[in-house]
Amino acid sequence: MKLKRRGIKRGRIEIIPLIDTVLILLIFYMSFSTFEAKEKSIDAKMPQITSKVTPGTTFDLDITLHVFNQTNILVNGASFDYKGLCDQMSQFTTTPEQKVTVVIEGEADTQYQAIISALDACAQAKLTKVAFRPLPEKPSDKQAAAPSK
Amino acid sequence: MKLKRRIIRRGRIEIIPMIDTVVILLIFYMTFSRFAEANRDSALKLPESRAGEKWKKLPQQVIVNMHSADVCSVGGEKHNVTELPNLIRGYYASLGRLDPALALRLKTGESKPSIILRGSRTMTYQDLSAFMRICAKTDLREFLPPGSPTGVAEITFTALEIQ
Repeated sequence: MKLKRRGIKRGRIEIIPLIDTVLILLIFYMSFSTFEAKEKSIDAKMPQITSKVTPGTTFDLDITLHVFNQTNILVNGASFDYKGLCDQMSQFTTTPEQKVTVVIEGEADTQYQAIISALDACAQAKLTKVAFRPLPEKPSDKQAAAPSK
Repeated sequence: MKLKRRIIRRGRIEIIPMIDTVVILLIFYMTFSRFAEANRDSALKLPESRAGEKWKKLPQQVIVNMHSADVCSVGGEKHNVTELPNLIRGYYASLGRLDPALALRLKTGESKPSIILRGSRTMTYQDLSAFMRICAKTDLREFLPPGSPTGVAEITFTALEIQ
């Protein structure tokens, strides 16, 4: 009797499923790579004006930051860069008796990144009560505040 | 002469490519639904910071994506910064219908109105000033406890983590 030879199956790579898999992986990594830079939030509580002042009220210590750019930020008149500002702001401690309010102001052409860096330095020093001194109002902005009926 | 019969090929659904396609579509929609849900403008280049925490939008928060004072987007629609007070008021007015429990919490002072500012790193202090003035003047007192001051006091600034 003649025995039948068992056919030896050679392993081979299937091209079409491989392309599908590579494409899926490519889309997956491309999509999620956009989330690599984590988005963070910095809270700021704006001071609100109230008309009543009770006797014995302690007033907040105001620190004014004038931001020209990231390398030139004035703190009560002294100039700092971002790193120096972080060190400087950490010296202002907040106690229950004495709260610190930071007032940030800038030039019209100061970049938002520099403002955020100043805010970042405040947040690192746990100073969350921050006010912004706005620039003079443009006539077009004046119409916006009134509620429409 | 005997004619050869043409073989009729029956249409059939290929399962494996279909699964591949479905997975691709699933990943695509899952990815982009995150943007839609959070009202985030993905084209915006945020500034960078070291401090800050991971954030998630709360129902009482309005997300404002700001490229400049002239180009802001709220809920995917582009507006001028001067249109923001009406949009913000409209959002809080709609809460009475969409989320009465939250509207009540705002009215009793348990929750406070808040704005999340996603500002472009290319905008200037002039643009931010316009935004801050708008926040200070937006009158939401009808949705808040009696005697509440005008303006939105809680503003959250967003930034990217420094790598």
